[in-house]
Amino acid sequence: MADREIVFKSGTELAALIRTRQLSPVELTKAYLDRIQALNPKVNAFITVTGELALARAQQAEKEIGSGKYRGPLHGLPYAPKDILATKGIRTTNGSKVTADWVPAYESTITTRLNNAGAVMLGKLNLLEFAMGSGVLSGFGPVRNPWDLAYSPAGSSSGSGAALAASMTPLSIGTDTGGSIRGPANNCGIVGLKQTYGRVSRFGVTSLSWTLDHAGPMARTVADTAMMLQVIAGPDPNDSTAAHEPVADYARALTRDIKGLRIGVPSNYFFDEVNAESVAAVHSAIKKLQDMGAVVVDVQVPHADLSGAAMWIIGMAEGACFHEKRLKEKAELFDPVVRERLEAAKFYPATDYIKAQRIRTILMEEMKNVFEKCDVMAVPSGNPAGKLDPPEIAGSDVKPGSSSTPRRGSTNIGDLVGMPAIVIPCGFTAEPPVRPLGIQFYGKPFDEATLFRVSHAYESVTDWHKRRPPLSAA
Amino acid sequence: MKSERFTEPGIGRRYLLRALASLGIGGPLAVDLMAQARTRISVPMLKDASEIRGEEFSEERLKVIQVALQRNLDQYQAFRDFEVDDLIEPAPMFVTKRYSTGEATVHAPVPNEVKHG
Repeated sequence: MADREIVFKSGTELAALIRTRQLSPVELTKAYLDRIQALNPKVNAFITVTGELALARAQQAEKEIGSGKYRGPLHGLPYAPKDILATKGIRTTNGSKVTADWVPAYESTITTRLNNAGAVMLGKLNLLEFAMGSGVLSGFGPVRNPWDLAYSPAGSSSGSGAALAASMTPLSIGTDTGGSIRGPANNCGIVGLKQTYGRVSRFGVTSLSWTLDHAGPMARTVADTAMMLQVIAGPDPNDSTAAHEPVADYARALTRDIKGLRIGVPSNYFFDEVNAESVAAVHSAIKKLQDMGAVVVDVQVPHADLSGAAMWIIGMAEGACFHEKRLKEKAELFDPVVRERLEAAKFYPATDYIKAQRIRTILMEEMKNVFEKCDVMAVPSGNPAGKLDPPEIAGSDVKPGSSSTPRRGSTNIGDLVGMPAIVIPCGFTAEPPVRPLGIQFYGKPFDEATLFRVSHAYESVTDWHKRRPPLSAA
Repeated sequence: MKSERFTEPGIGRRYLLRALASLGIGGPLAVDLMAQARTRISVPMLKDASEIRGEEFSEERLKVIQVALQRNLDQYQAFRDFEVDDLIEPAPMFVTKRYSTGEATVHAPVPNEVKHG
């Protein structure tokens, strides 16, 4: 019988125990299912729990491993994807009442690859509706931040961030169109990777924006994130945007050696409007990396301030197009925030959309110039988690807040330019309620290995990732 | 491609800011005045635009959209003012390979209909 502490181990630790047959995948799966049952009423991270299926897959894994048919490090390891990845025969809600009963007839490439690697799906995770809702009014209710249940885990991969922080799963998959993997990573104190556009197939991931969407790994450690990317990366005949670039051996990047690594720190935009405590934590992390042998260089992305508007216009215009039929036929079932955003986007001029795509070209060029001077760029990943407040809906009775807010921040540009970015924890707020702080590293296209190298080096000399939220499963 | 090719925000906005500054008006007040000087979106305007779109919205929905769209317009003025150099093309999206022979691309459908009960 696995003890209750087993759920707090990292994916790589669990994988080693499973491989050497010191840990039963069935017992491990039961431990996670027990924890989900105990905590989900508080956190609301899972929309669907596939307990019977999980136990059946765990039994199959145990049998295979016992007979010497070990498939690799994910074999027998539980995971839970955001409920926007199609799972054949299993309800896929997209976090929306509009598709609340959808049971896909096909499987996303990501879950296919995870399942083929022997990973055990525990269930499907809550999210902001269609990866863009309010977080409060979405189809299945708000996810709560395990560090303080009155606070937001951020979105749209809110269930992924919260489930990982609460140790309800060791591994997850999120999606990121403007920062939806990295926001929850920042708010929940976990690791989130938005890899290069094309590195991972989008097949079977419900679109928000075809040209901005990324689906990527989320976990509690850098090594776990790398382990997942290893399995899900690579070309896919079902997604013509999935790239054919070779997939590196990411485990080999986890050397803890960053001597001579050039870290670019931008002098414009990225640190603006970020809370002082977050900025201080990021500078402290950069100093630590310098002490380990990294070299800091100044960089600039001159038009980074246009990234928010460009991302929003592209994302909402593509989203309005994707959801056109559903908006006409089932508008009343949408989260009012989603409906408002998409209906407003129907009036964006085509010239604005194309202009946003031209600004995207400018930003791609400027980021390319950045990476001629450095290997990674370090920036804050956001502010500490805020309270879960209802957003403003124009003309409705929903309380004021923000809905069609301007998109500043440091994550939008990553989805616009397609370059990879990782968020890892780098501290906690001093005052209660204690909430995580994060640092974000950007990298060159298809150079996720260097992002793993620098973030793993930092993680190896800090213990932020080992802290647990004050959440009792009793 | 060098960053010098990317031109700065539009002359109209800068001219207006300078004009306001010459009157001793700057900072948030100047920004506010500039926002007020811009076109205000109205429900009748949206009704006309809806007809061009071939789509009908209720009066109530148009009011919601009007507020959201006005907010977008105000917030993204810097984006609209920004002048892009003629040599800058939209980011590449067209994937020729999708239409080449020998490689099938399956487009995953998402349901339009809700099957309650």
